[in-house]
Amino acid sequence: MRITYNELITITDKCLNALKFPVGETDRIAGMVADLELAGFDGLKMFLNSIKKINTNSVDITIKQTNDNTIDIDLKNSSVIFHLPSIMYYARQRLKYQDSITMNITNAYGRWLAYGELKKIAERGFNVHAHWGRRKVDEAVEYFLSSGNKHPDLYVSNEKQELSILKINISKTSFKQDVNGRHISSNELMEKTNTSICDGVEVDENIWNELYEIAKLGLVENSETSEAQGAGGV
Amino acid sequence: MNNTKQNKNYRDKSIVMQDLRLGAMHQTRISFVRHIVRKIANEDWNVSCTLWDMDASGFGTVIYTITTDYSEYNFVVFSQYIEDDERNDRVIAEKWDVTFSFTQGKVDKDLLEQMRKNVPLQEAGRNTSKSLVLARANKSVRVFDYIVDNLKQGVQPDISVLAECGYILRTTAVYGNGKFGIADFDILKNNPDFKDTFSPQMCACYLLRQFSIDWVNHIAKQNSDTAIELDDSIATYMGTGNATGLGMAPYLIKHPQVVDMWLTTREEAITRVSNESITDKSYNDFIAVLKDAIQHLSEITTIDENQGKLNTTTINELTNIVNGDKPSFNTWKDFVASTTNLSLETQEIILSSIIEIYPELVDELSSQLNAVESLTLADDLSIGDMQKVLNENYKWATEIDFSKDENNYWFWYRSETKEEPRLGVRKEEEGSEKESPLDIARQVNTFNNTIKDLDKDMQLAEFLINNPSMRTIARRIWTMGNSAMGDIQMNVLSKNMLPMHLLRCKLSMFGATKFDPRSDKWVQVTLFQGAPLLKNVKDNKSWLFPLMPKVK
Repeated sequence: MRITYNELITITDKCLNALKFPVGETDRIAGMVADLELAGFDGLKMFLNSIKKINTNSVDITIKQTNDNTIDIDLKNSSVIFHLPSIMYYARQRLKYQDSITMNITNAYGRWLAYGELKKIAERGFNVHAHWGRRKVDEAVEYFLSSGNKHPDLYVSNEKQELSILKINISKTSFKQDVNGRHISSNELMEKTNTSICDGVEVDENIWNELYEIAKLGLVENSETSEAQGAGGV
Repeated sequence: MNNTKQNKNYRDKSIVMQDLRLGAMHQTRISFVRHIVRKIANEDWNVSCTLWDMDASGFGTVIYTITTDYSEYNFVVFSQYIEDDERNDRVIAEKWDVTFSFTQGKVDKDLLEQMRKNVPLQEAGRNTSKSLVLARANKSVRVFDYIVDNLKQGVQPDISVLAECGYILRTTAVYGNGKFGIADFDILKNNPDFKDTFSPQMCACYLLRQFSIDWVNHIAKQNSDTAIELDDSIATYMGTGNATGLGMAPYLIKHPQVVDMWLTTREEAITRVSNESITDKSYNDFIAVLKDAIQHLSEITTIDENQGKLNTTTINELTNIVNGDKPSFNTWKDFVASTTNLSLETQEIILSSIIEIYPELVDELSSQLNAVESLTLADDLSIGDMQKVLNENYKWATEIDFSKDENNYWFWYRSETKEEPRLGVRKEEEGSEKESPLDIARQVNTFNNTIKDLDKDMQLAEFLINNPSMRTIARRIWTMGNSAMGDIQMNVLSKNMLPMHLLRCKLSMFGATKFDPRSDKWVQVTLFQGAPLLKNVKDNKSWLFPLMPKVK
């Protein structure tokens, strides 16, 4: 089925409002999901996996600064969507005093969903090189985005992945794209995104329906009192 | 303009964003209805009816085509028979007298069929991204029947009967921006015709008004050889009705930067006109507008006792000004400062009226109302920075005692019945665990209590990494606290809260007139009442306060 950008945002928003996780920012998560889906990747599917896997009893993450330029972050089997905006803000403060920073984010689900959030750091004048993979499909992704650009260059290969790691390098100087893999250029991603905004995106109906059922958990059962309290209109 | 900047010439946000004042707002020259009518006139848009396939009872399909220098658009209307007991203005309705779509590009046979199958279903249908607006409307059955009966008999309807309502068709939802498959607003960002916020929706409502007039003329003619057409002055007095309920209120809470942009731009208009000198001519122009306001308020009817009293007070206060001497103030700023003892309704009418007489200063602002929505945190913020912004901008929230039941009285939620937005009493009704997150005042209060005793030098980033649940409200506080007008200063959980204030704020930005509250939670208004008809769209006469015509 074909859905619009607004519907992508809305379904994510409704699911998160229904589930009421103690962590995560609804608008930022919706943006991450929509950015990835519009670029032609499985944003909704990864979002669904992320909300299924979050352990609501433990939302803490561990941050350890190993040296001036490196931070190790353990998400403890949570998804990047719930924590990446906080982590990136934390990193931005470090970059006031240094030229680059590397973040090793471990035990993180939904690594592809970092796609959109990383664009925000480039908007602020930094260069980004990130690396992540998916063990199940032996897929590794190299992500390059230069300061001021709106869409990244991706290199996708079939390298085996060791751990569920998302590695992010942020620097004031640009990165050399010296990697192997199938190149998906920033132009391709821009065109795909623009087409998706104009024409909508095709999504898997099963995933959509599953999300719709989750969203319905946030609705209150009808009653006579409830019906009387309502007021229609726009 | 992107995010708004604070300006010492604007009124203080604690005055502008107060709920009672928002609930007294009126249309101005920068309201969306005024903008779209000026645009159609100034840019010479061609509008014609290109399909009229309708039976004698008024059921069928109609298309109006707009041609601009940039593109073609089609306003496609489907009207159908419905039983009286199926006619419901609430979101829970499933049938409507009229459903319509406003579409960019040509409508060929296939697309028309696709629309015929989906547009009448509204939320239950799927639409294409060519469609910019999806909406529906119901008849005012009494006015509709009364007009048709009179026209059939060859006489014009009595204007005083029509004045009670002011419209033939009343919209009950006007969807834009990607809902149910239609085009996202982002698609329009480079479209010179409809890049301005809510402009496709307003254009559709303006065309619906034309349809409603053509519709009654058609039915009368089809059913009587002696039928006449509705007099132009009466047709001009009929607008597009609108019934608005709670659904509009969450929009304002969820889009604070949109509201801030609207109110800041309005404040810019007030600032520009306030600096002008009061001359004999400008004062006479102003008094003429006030006389229109008095007549307008005297002619409208409302079933709401409180609104009726407010209207009476306003009429009396405005009459005192009109009958008084020209004041000796040099500028409008001084004049406005002298009116702060008057009712809020009167104060707001005075502001709208001053704005009205300076088109050359304010009209350009109506195309500067689009907002960029992104709540952000600046770099290098400390806890002390957040304490300062809270102290300077959010006392209205931090000083509320949320341990008291009356400050936590309501909860907002969406019902399983068509997701209708509703209000429940927290201690009496089921469902508060599914409360919608509109509790901005309470969230601000909690954030303030959490950080007020922390070390001022602590980095906010450090705090948020350990308190991730507070990032959303922290971003809102920082962004809106540093915006010109900021958040609406209202605890929407309070027992004393009136959703009507929020509805009125948004509707007045749309350009609604004739506010007729039907309860605390929904209101009927008219849009485009008094606006020039399509054939006279270049008519420059003011329609800030629609006036009953004198029909021979």
